[in-house]
Amino acid sequence: MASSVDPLVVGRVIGDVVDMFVPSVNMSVSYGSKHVTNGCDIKPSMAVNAPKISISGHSDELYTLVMVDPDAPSPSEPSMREWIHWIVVDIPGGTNPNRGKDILTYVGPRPPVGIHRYILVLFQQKTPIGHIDHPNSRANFNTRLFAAHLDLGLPVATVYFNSQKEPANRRR
Amino acid sequence: MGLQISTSSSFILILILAVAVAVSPPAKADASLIQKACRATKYNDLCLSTLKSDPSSSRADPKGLVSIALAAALANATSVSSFLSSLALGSSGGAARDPALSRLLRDCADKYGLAGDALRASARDLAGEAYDYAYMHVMAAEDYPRACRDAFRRPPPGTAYPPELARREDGLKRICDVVLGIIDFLGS
Repeated sequence: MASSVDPLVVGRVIGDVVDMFVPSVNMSVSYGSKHVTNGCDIKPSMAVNAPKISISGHSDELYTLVMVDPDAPSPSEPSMREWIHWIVVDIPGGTNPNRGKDILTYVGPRPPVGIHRYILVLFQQKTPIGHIDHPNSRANFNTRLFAAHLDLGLPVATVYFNSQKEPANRRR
Repeated sequence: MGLQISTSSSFILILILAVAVAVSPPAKADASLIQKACRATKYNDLCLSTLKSDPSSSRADPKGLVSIALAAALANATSVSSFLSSLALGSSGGAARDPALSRLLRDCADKYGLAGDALRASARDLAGEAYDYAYMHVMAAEDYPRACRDAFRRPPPGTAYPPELARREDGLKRICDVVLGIIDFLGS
């Protein structure tokens, strides 16, 4: 089981954003036809809209998903760590984030400098969440504190991809 | 002798050109900057009318133009929130008598409030010259109205989406698109 989180350790996702955990839920993430595997490259232009995500688990269980960038604004000086891109709560097991409650709308990557990691972390909830106060700012979010505040425990699934600025000839 | 004359003629020619350039009227950078910025947006006319309605735009630099457009977007989001609150209170009694519609309108007011928060965050990042982050906040602001519209559709068959709200949703989307275009122009 430990070997399945090796890429997260090597990528310092475990350490920078979450603590060591044992994955217990399958989470499949795709941007268009590209399936996200740990450390793969995704162009910002491919990630403008929220990815398709499906999770395993039982329908009577509820899950919370966050997407963060710990390398904001740059990996060498991440003064905005973590920049929160998406928060969805109350996702029923076996479904997808569209079935949950969007707390903070999805914003695609737009890394100004360097290669940034974009990390999707899934937690299992102990109770329905419903409504939570929106973070005051998207910068300086803390996944560990957020999880502690909602008593979410350790993650049940995590995957991350890399993204960097595209040349200026891309069109919006 | 001939060489000396041609050298001093060249010198005088250069001197005349230099004086001509120095006294020529300054290029109308102000008007053409607004035009260039607005051409980079999806809604040129809306951009022009938005920027020109603020007198400071003629002296603004590109960052200042973004700031003016952001202020207009924020005013738009705020007015939609107010409109939703008035609908929810139901001056005609319609919404007040329908708890489901009332709840939808309150959810929507919440979403447009978040759009306003995002635009304020964008202005802060703009001031700090974190342009990519300013851009992302506007992307978020632009997406919240869709969440309001989606709420009307769920669960099927949903509730009729008021046309006055649809019009305002479109208005906020357009002004946000204008802001995004000018930020791209700023970065180019």
